[in-house]
Amino acid sequence: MKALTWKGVNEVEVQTVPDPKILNSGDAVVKVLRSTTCGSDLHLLGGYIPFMQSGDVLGHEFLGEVVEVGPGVTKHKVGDRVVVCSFVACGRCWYCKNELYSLCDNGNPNPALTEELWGANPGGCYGYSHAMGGFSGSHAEYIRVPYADVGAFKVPPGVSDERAVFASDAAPTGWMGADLAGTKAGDVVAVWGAGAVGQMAARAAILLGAERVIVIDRFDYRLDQAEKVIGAEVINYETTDVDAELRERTGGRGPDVCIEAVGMEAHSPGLQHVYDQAKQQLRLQTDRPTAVRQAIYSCRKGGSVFVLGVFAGLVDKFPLGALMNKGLTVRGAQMHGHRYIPMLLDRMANGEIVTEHFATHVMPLDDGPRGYDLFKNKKDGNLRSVFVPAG
Amino acid sequence: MGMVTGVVDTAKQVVKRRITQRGLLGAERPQDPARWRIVTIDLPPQEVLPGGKAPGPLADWQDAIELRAVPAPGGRGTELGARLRDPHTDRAPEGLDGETPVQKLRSALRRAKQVLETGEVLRADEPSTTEPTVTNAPLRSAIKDSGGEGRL
Repeated sequence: MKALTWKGVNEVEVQTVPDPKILNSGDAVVKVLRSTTCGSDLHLLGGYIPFMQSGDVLGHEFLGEVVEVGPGVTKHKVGDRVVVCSFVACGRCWYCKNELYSLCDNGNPNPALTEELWGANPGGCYGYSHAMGGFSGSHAEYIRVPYADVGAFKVPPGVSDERAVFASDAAPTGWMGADLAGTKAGDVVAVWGAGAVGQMAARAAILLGAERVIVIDRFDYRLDQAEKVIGAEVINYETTDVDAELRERTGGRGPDVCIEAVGMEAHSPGLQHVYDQAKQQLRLQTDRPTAVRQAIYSCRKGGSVFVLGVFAGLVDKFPLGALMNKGLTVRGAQMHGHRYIPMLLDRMANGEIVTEHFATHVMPLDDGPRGYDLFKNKKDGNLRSVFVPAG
Repeated sequence: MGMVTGVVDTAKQVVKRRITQRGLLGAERPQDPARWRIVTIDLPPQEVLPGGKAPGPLADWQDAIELRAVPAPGGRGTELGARLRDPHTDRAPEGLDGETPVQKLRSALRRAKQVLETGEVLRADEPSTTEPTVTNAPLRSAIKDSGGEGRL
């Protein structure tokens, strides 16, 4: 079959790879109908997560049709149209039973890599390096889905492929950020990053009753989407003093909830970015935490900060003093999508959540290298490139 | 050619050690091969060691290991521990990840937990699409040992 593979730093290629097959009784094989790029892929592309090997298939956010099931699969049958959670979770360990699916004990066949890096191993993730299990990704004609009864969800007939594909990762990730940050009626919520995850976090905050939701980014075409489609207020950080603006809009308090949806390759105007970039390139820090710093600094006293962006290791100049002295609650997580996806599909069906506008560039898998070039370099108003492997 | 191979092998060992080293943020800790290795399984003790019988791959060790099972606090299931009677035993079963008895014991414990909780051991994708290269040799080596390494 055809698949889009990582070949080296900033190098991807469409190549022929072996077809997936059933290896465990709970597996399904899914024919991929839509598979989207994600901002976290850029960390793999750029070599910031050093657990990729030439030939690894990229992609973790996808929707498809079940074409084969293992003998242990009871909820799905051949022909089902399913969206698959990007994280691989067993559904049977303590973490899964407590709806902390991305922390699954049994979803990562390579536990030592992340145990040594982080002290414990999270679950697996499709197409997201050997540290996250080494599972083949979804930028392919077919994909193996382990624990299919747990991680695959039937898509309601009224929800289009273009909308439902984002229930795989962007929508549940954003919802989780707003939910686990404790967003409640009357809150002012600030979201750093107007990509698909940031927009979904903003939409979730609105649906959870936030009084005002403010999205921060530097690209006007992304901020336009956040304002016109999602219904949030916006700030362009290249033309506005974000902290001063947030204070003005919140009566001098700062946002009650700050959600960071940027990750380890954050940008900022001025010397801070030069400093972080230099330290990252010299491997004196693995991640650039610019947006996290600003979220902690801007958050109101006693407020809540949620780190949704992907980080790999160590950062410099972390504002621990602000965190402690302002009495902040800081949380983070990879996405526990399984607990949100059925609810999100229902909301997609009734129109409360729309996502088609994320798919600014839809193309066949053969155009994968061009899709990542558009996505990485923000060309032609690209928010997400979505691949149609059968197209 | 021999010297080139030697340099590559040395580099592989250094990088592999960096990937799998213990104590990433502090001094490297000496390993005690005789200490208990413990996993928590989300099942009651009578289902983890029914009638004192070792579960899954741990049964193949027979009396080369000691086992113990106690309820985990807070209703988190059972803490299942295993320890090598002889850290240098040559009675480790075949088919487990790793090379040393400690690595094989970690692998057996992890697999036992998976078998008890999910019914089987999750397999990595195969055939792999990875292309072996000189630069990814250390990572390939670390992945091969991953089931038997780590902090367990």
